[in-house]
Amino acid sequence: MTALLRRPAGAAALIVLLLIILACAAAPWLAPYHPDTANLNDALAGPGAAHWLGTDELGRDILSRLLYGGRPALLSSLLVVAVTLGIGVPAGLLAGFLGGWADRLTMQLVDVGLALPAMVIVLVVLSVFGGKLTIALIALGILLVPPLVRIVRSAALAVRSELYVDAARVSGVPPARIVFRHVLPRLRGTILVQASIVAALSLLFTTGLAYLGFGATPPNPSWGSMTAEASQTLAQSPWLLVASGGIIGLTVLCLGLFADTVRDLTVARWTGEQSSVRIFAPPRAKIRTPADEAPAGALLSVRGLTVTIQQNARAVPVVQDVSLDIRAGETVGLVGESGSGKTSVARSVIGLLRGGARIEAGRIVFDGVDVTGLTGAAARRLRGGQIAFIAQEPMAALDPTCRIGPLLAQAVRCHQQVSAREARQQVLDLLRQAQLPDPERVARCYPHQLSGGMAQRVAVARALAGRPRLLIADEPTAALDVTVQAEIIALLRGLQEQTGLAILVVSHDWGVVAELCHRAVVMYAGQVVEEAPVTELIGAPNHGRAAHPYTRLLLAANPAQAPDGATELPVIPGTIPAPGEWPAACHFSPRCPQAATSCTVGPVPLHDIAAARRSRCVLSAGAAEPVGQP
Amino acid sequence: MWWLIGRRLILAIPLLFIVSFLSFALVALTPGDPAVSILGSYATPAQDAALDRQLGFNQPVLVQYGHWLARVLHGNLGTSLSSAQAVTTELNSGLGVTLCLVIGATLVTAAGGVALGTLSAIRGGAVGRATDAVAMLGFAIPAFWLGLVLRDLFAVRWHLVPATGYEPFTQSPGGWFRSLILPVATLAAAGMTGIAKQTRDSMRDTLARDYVDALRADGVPEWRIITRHALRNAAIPVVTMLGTFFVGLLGGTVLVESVFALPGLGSMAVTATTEHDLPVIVGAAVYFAVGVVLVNLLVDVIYGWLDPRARVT
Repeated sequence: MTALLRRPAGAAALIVLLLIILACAAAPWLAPYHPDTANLNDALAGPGAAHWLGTDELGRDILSRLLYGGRPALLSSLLVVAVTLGIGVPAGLLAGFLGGWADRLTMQLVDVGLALPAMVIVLVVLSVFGGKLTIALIALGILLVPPLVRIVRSAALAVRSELYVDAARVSGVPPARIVFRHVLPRLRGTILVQASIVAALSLLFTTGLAYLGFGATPPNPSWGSMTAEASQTLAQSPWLLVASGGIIGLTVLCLGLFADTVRDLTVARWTGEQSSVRIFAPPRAKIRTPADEAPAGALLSVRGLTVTIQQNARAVPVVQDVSLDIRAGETVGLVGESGSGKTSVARSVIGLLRGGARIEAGRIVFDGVDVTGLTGAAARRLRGGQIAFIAQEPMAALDPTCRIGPLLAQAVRCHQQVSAREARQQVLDLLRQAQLPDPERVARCYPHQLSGGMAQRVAVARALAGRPRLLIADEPTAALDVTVQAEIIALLRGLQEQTGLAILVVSHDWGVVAELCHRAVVMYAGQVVEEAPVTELIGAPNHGRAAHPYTRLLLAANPAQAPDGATELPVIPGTIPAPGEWPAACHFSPRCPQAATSCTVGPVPLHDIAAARRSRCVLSAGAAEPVGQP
Repeated sequence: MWWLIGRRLILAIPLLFIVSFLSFALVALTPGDPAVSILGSYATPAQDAALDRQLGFNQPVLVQYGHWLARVLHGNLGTSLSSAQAVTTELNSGLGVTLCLVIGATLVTAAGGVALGTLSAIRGGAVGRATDAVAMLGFAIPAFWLGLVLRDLFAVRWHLVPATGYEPFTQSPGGWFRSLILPVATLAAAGMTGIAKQTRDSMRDTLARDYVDALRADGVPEWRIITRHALRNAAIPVVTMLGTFFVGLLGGTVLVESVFALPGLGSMAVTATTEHDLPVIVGAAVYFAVGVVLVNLLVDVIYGWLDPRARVT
């Protein structure tokens, strides 16, 4: 309730609604005139002092008639709501909670019920029962049951699968009690929303019926019949129509707004606030460019990259001052636990950051050209044409409604001016290159007809469509089983050897890095902590050679690197801190077994420790010069 | 795909049974003697009984329903009590008007709603909020009221289109079009905003999917991603909604045909209700139910065409 008051639209709607209901209920005391008192001398008067809302064609006071006319309208709605909820809520609860045949039968009936044309059925009822409105309203209430059952059922299903309901069931609490004590209270919001919607629909419906002449008998006023009367005198006094239709519209509007607000409050609370999706990239932040230049020979050069996300109106870094280089034909592994920021680095390079993340500082140079935050046609030429990106989930990257052939042909034609026929031919070649058996059949497949391994091979073929020079593969094997993993690794290595493609592999798996990469860049909590040739890190005798304690622990925690006969893998104590909670000093110091007081003094710079090796550990800092900014 | 259509057809059979039996049982349950209501209070009891025998009202309900059903299967819905015409003849004369109206309104709703919703999803911000506000208004304004206002403004005051009546297409295509503009606009107004809102939500959801990012990574232009990929995926839930919307539309035609005095099924149903012409009103219910069945079938076909995953099993 207090939450509702914080939403001005919802609160205002509720207040207006209550005022309308109270005013109609108190009509005998509030109405300035009797609703049927005619005064032909004063017919069709506009709003004025004597009649606040004017008079109708018989000179009756509109305000009084609206107040009295609201009573049948609102009471009818109440009746319909009572019937609909009285049947729909128990039926939906039972179907959702019991499941099985009861559920199937209910849903079959609901399917039939949803297809019943309500208005015509109500007319049949009216015709049969000689215009008895009450029976027609009960019929309407029954006709509005099916959609309610559907909604209550799915809500009940969701609650049923929650742990505490399971627990209650296992401990032998009778089902009826579970439903009423545990499930029903959780559905209060949903039921309130549906009650408002049913009330609004029945109000619209009954006023429509009244307009057709099946409503309150004249001279008794009702909102619907008043609208019908107003339509007769529309030419002389349009105001009447505005007043009578306006009150119906206002009431329905308030019910709708109230329902919307309650839905936002209750449903959103359970499913988590929906993050608003930014379709177009947010405006590029003013980028501070660090002074040092890209070394000669680097195909891709990232310098001082800082990526932030918006959290409680504050820019929180998820990547901090990351620099890395990839030479043509080189394969680099970007390693770290989830949450280390490695995917954000990869996505920054191709300009496809998600979830409102943006590049706050730094520079991304590809083949000598600054491509930081590129947009428009230039970005499109870069993506796919120069740098290809394979996202984490191979299946999720495929449009489920598009066949593989046309999808890849589109990628080909985005970067080459070729005929559709030539593009098709190239697609088959690409699929063959990705070692897919029977490329022609695969090209005709929809994504759901592929296996995970095939989808990953398709992703590789797709990445090659624009003849890129750099391939970024984000966890290329994470979603696959072990044998397929090995095949994909072999495929990528083969491609790299044949085409001289540079590859950036983002992975948490040292096995993948060992198989594929020349160099490893280790990230922890948004920073690069170590960089070294893979041959100097991997292999049991080399464990000790990792310069940073985090790298050593990460290597030791990897099953493939454990010494033979080891029964337990060492784990790194603690968890990676969330963005915004990073210590100012060494980010790893709270979890580091070797942490000394010198580790918590201040930011630790990344420094050279040997040829082609860098580390961000105080302990490995010899006399070497710091590299990059802290 | 065929499996899906078959399943829907099987589902349609109980629907038609329920609608017809409901209507029929209601008629049979009518308090009072039907013959009395037909012949009026001046007929003798013997005359009433004779008519009851003639019309079969003295038999048990299920037997009556069986006879009625057998006739319906032969395309005979009985005879109108007020005009003495065959019910099918009478209703068929109004079918064309109602079909033009609902098909026109569905097309306008779908095209307008999807366009508006897509725009709102892409542009967001003010356009999105405006769509929300208009959608809420479209929900709140009673259809017949909107019809009255449109009729008063465009027909009575500005003489742009005829206020009431219908011209068949065969007589005057221009007149036909002009006589349908306002009714179609009235019917489409409410549904369009609902569809726009649904499209907007669905489109936003689609544009946040991984495969949209993957298409961007391919270097595919944004407009092409939206028109070729996102729209089709986003349309899948919208099409389902269009089916439900159509059922509501049938209710709307009843009111809108009354407002614009169109000689369609809806106004016939209203007249039949006031005149207690039971065969006609039951026949109208059957016509509407068949319409709903056909539209659901069409929705399934479109669904299967849009979503290849729905074609299996």
